[in-house]
Amino acid sequence: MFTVLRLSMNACRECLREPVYYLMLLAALIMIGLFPYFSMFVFRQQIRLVCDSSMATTMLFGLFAAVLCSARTISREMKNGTVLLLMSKPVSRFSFVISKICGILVSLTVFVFICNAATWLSVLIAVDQFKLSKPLVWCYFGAVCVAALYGGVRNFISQKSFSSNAVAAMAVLFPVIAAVSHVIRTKTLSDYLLTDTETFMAARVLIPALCMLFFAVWIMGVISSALATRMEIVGNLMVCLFLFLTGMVLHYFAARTFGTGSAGALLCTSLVPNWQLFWMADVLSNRIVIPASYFVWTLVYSALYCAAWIGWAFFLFQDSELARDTR
Amino acid sequence: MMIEAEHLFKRYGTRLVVDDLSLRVDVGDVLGFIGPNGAGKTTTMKMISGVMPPYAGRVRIDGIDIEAEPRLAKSRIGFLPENAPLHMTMTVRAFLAYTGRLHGFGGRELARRVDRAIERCALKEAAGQEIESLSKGYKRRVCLAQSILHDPKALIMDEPTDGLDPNQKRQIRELILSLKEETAVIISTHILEEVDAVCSRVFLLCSGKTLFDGSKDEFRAKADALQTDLAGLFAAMTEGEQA
Repeated sequence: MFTVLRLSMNACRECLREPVYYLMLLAALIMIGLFPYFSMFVFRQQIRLVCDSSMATTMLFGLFAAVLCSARTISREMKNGTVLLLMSKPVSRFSFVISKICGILVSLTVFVFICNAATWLSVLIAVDQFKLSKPLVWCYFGAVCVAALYGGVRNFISQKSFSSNAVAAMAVLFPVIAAVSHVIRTKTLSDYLLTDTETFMAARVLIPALCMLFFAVWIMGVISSALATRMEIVGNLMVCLFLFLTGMVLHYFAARTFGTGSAGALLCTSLVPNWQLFWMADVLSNRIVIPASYFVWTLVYSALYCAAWIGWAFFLFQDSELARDTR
Repeated sequence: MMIEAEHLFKRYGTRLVVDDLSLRVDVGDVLGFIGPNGAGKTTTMKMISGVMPPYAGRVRIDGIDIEAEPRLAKSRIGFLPENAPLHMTMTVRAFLAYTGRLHGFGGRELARRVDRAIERCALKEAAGQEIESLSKGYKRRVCLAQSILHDPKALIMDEPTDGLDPNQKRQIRELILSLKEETAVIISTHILEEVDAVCSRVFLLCSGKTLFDGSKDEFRAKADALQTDLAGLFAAMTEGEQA
């Protein structure tokens, strides 16, 4: 148990230290931060535009981050032989696989958490149809800069990883700024909200919808980790993209072809993850609060799907030859 | 007997890379595991260290079957893989502490072992540096330090002095010789100078088959009988087999 914990912590740290992880997060945050500007071109749909675009960005960049993390921590270790060093310790193959997956999932959770906090902040920036909240825009991009500065200073003074320190700073700054801004906004806009609720995105609607993205990215993380035991980054990315795109549409066509709830439709849902389950854009646009039962059901679906792919990951790794280039 | 391998076989697909290999190494022995490239040395090292299961055969470390009780057997093994694969973003001290924790050490005991490994492998100057920034020789020494951190009873080293300068080679060889009093050591190499410098026994492998298993003196006597040196004997034995 402790071995798994130590290996998981190390795998997570390795992911967060990767400059490419930081770059993916930075790119996602800049895009999410710019969506409020595009909302100036729509009428009364600005919140929907920001939410839809930000959630799509989180999902897509989450997929890329999942593939990159698994390729860096699993494929690369198998290729350069680091896995040999670990497997010669009192570590079983199962412990190795499960701990790598856990480490990758924790780093992806951090990724989605920061993106979700940024989405919340972006929504607050775009609440007003006719002008953006300039102080919040400054806070948003200021947080990105402060985090980079913190990472740079830690790297320069203590030789600590720039990437992991900058990510840690963002993980603190974004939720704090978003929460404080939300409290201030809801206080100052309370009268206005009573008369025009359409323009306000309630936290009880938005937060559960954003939480669904965690489940989607966890599934992507587990799939890409399983594939990383056998594939290099390009092959892994191709298969994950295929599953992502197929999972978006397959269930719709399966339901039309075989009928909703039929064995054929169920089989498709079992084979390819149904990403539509986690896509709450329509719920948000209709201001519907996600029922707790749906939330729990989706969590169970994600857990079962992840468990199945962890089984695959173990099966693929169990039989794989380690350190291919040193053989 | 500290390391026992009996009738090991290994296939990659249809290719048989290790063919009925058996060896025994006891404390005090330094076995030079030699052979040309592709002979199956690294594959055998991986099987003996428990990283890779054999297709057939059995490996015992200190009497413990490595397939039946892998955790217990592996706790007695120190393994130095080829090319010194390490976590490059960690500092030397953090990496050694990490590998020590995987062996179940913690607190003062872990700190003591890390300090001792750093001292024995002459890593004091580099202890706080990121592994990525170190030279090849230092990286190899870090890898060696992690392999001896837990005082293993069986030390398996794949090309331990590869890429080191003459001074570093001498230091590593002295360290190996100091370890052999309490440890059974296997060194996989294709540098015959290494065999001459540190090994007490020679095991020659070619195309997965055992060509020689005996003392260094016997190996040298064989070379003398053919009126050649060790390199000449190596060539005569392996070229015939490869052809």
